[in-house]
Amino acid sequence: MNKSATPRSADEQIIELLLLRETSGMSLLYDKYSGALFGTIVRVVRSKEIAEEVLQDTFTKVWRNIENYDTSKGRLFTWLINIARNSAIDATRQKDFKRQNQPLENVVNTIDTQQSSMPNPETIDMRQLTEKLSPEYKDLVDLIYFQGYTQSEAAEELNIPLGTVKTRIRTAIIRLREFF
Amino acid sequence: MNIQEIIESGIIELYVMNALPEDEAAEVEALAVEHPEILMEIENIQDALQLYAQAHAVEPNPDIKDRVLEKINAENTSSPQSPKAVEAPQTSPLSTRTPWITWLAAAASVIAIVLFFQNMSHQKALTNCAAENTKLIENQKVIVQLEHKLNILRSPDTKLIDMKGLAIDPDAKVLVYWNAKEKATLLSIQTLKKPDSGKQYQLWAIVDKKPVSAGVFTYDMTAVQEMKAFENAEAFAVTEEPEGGSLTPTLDKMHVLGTVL
Repeated sequence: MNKSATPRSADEQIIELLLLRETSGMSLLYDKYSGALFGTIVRVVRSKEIAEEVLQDTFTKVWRNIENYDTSKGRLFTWLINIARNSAIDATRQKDFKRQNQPLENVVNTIDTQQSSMPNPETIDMRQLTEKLSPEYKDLVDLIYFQGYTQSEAAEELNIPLGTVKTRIRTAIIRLREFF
Repeated sequence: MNIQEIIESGIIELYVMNALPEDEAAEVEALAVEHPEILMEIENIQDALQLYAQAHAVEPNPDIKDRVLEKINAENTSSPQSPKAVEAPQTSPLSTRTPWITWLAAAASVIAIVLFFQNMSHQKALTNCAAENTKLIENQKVIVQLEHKLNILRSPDTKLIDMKGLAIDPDAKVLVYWNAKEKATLLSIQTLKKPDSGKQYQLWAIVDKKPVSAGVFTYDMTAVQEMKAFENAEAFAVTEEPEGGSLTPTLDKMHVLGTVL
């Protein structure tokens, strides 16, 4: 039974450990978020090897810069995914980076099937759920959230007006909020 | 634009996704400081997107974790400024030539050592400050949220739904404060069995005879927790679900139920 009057979230405990330079904080952080961050990075760099480098790089940056995380701007994960996405985009800009022409879902599926770990049944549920976003919404969310397109880049890529990007993103997130 | 129009414009979503130009992102941040509704909207969007990202998680190779931990451990033990600043003057070949340069080098080492320790203590103070600051900001957020909750509780439009225990938990009692006008739902546990390990409670609103999730909540007797809001609801109920919640309620794990009068 939890007797503490002010229960702290797991994230708050992790942040405190990281600020105190405790390695255990990094271990907890990794366990909680490496999968979601790796999923994002893979979607940008489209290569497992490069994605693993970027993932390590991401956690090292988090370790060095935890003081810069500002709780008033929102959730820890949002800060983490911004670092991961930016690191991944940086990696694609390195001069020896060759863009893999493999379609994205192939890369993600290959990596998934290569891992021996058992899939989490709840994750599968969620995955089926996100398939319910119709393609026009899903493509836009994935382009912006996973691949780091800005609103104007996304508008150009999908050949839709800027205003439509805003209204579609709003509708898409409302649908996600209903699901979750 | 008023707050509601801003919330409905899609700009907050783009802000959370890091897709706005810098000046527009700064505007959203400024608005969030002034208007708790915007901050709450930001957090709700962040939560939805976090779940979306988690639904798309790909597990990295298990050995990557060890590599990350080794790397940061190495950084922990070798502080970047330390050895070079101290050693450089001593190993300098100049020191053997003329006495005054030796003296200067020694003085430089002393200064370097003093500066190094000073820097270390400053860095420690800075880390402490950052931790304190994080706590203060966190407290401020708590106050804003409490004010918001108090306003809901005081509002004459707020309905109290007294959810009473069902067969599996007859002593249970959970209160819901629901305000359709302000679009707010608050929850307070009075009595409720401890959830089994790996389980979590989830609140449901019955809207047009169908259960709609109002989100999961923590097993905390002291908190008044904010849940998802509804414009219409006929009843509310709480079920015990696997951690993270379910899409549909597990009916034989329903602990309390209360209708809206």
